[in-house]
Amino acid sequence: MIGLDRRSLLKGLGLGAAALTLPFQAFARSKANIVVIGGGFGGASAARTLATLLPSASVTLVDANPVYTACPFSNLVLGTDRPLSAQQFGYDSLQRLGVTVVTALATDIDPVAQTVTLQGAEDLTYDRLILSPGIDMRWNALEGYDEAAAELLPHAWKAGPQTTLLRQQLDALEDGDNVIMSVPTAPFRCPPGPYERASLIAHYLKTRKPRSKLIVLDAKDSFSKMALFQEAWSEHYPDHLEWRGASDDGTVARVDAVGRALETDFETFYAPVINVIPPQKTGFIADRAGVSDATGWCPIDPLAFESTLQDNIHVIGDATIAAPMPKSAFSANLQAKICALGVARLVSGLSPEPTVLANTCYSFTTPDEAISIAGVYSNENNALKSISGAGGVSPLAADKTIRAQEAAQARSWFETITSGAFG
Amino acid sequence: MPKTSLLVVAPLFGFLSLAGCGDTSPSLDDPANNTIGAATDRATALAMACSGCHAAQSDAVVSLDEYGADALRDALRRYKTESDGTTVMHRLARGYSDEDVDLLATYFDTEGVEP
Repeated sequence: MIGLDRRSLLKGLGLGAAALTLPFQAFARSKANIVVIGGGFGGASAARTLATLLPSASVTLVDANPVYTACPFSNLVLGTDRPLSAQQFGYDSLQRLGVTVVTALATDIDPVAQTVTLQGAEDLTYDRLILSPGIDMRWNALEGYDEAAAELLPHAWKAGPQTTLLRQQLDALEDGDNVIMSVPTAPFRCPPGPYERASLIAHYLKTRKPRSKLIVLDAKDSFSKMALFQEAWSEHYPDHLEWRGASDDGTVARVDAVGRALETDFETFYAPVINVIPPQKTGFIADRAGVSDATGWCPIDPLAFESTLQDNIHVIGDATIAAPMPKSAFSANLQAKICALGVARLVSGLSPEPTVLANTCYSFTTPDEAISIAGVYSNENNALKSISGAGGVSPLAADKTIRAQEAAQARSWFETITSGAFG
Repeated sequence: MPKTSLLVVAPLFGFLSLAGCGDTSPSLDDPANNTIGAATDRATALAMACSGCHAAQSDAVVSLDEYGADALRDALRRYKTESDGTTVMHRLARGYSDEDVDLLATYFDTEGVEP
């Protein structure tokens, strides 16, 4: 029976052929009161796993929006005909599982009283709080780039209206005019994301505005999957993509949003379309909870993703200091599941146990070709560590069929991970 | 499911040193807590990483339910030991011990289990 129960859990989480029906077997009678804030790949998955493991517990998911707009694959919305609606997911299936879904902005957390303040809804109390707050932009960390500037020069680093705005600007671009992108230093959400975006914007220009070009101004000299991206760029976009690293005066020092200009140390770049990917930090609610540190991110013990700064609060996803595990949807989703297992054990009087975690990120270089990076990590002794000998990137100079296979794997991954979290 | 009995018992030692956990009152005598130990054991935690990609069969990714334990163990060991392999599964499998490969193979074994 125990083996059956374990399998039912994974099936309930989307891992199995009959994934959509979940047998409500009483794993435990814990009456714990668990609140999850943030309904993305981390929070939705944490709530689902806990509701499945602890059917007698109270599991509440809080998000300001009734619909989640996913970032992975949103670069295909910018560069191809993929609609934004393909990125959007609701929480109906979580409610059917018994999760209480509250659509409200969490504005404050008292880690001593163990309460959450919500805007326009009753305050919540918790025994265990799981924060999956994602990122916020560090407005003005890049001089001249604030919330008002983002309405003129979109970041599109949270999918949704910003994605639509950037796409509209690309559609309005005159053939022959250029596009500029600014990329910050690490850490930021989705390390290969800017370069996938550069690839797909270059694809857009090549196919629809062939006399235009994308100039990427990067505050770094190296980046995720760099050799693979550069190989793809020289093959597909020699006339449509120019990348300048930090040592080639690529670091943007100042933004003039109204003048549509980016200034480096030695040059000013003007373009009708400018995508500024700004410096980032944890979502603000983590600051209110007192779980972020001077870096702007949240230190955790990766055994169960418990905050090292506050008791009874766990943090997962992009908000955490989890390097070498990257800030990716795959990582957030797996961290959520491992966190949920740990929380279920803690509220049942058991200690979290060490395990092996992994990450896989695919990036499209064209609409039909993708490259990947993978990593495997241990979470013992208060640190995530890469397991040596494992992980790495797709081979260079590979046959076209390998790039097409990884694109197909990427599409399959998106279906699986979104149906696992939201479906 | 031969390994579950060990995994049910082992975590109970940890319980004695834990302070209160919210308003819950876990008890060593409560069989529900034994069940949580099994439902959150090492094999389950390891399998969570697989669940990011492997669910229903697609054109590009296999369903692990369609492997037997022996075939899955063989496949994972082959991925782990093929030194010139470059697929995502080669890169991932190299991070897992033989013992963890065995746990995963047994975990996903569907023999005798109703879907």
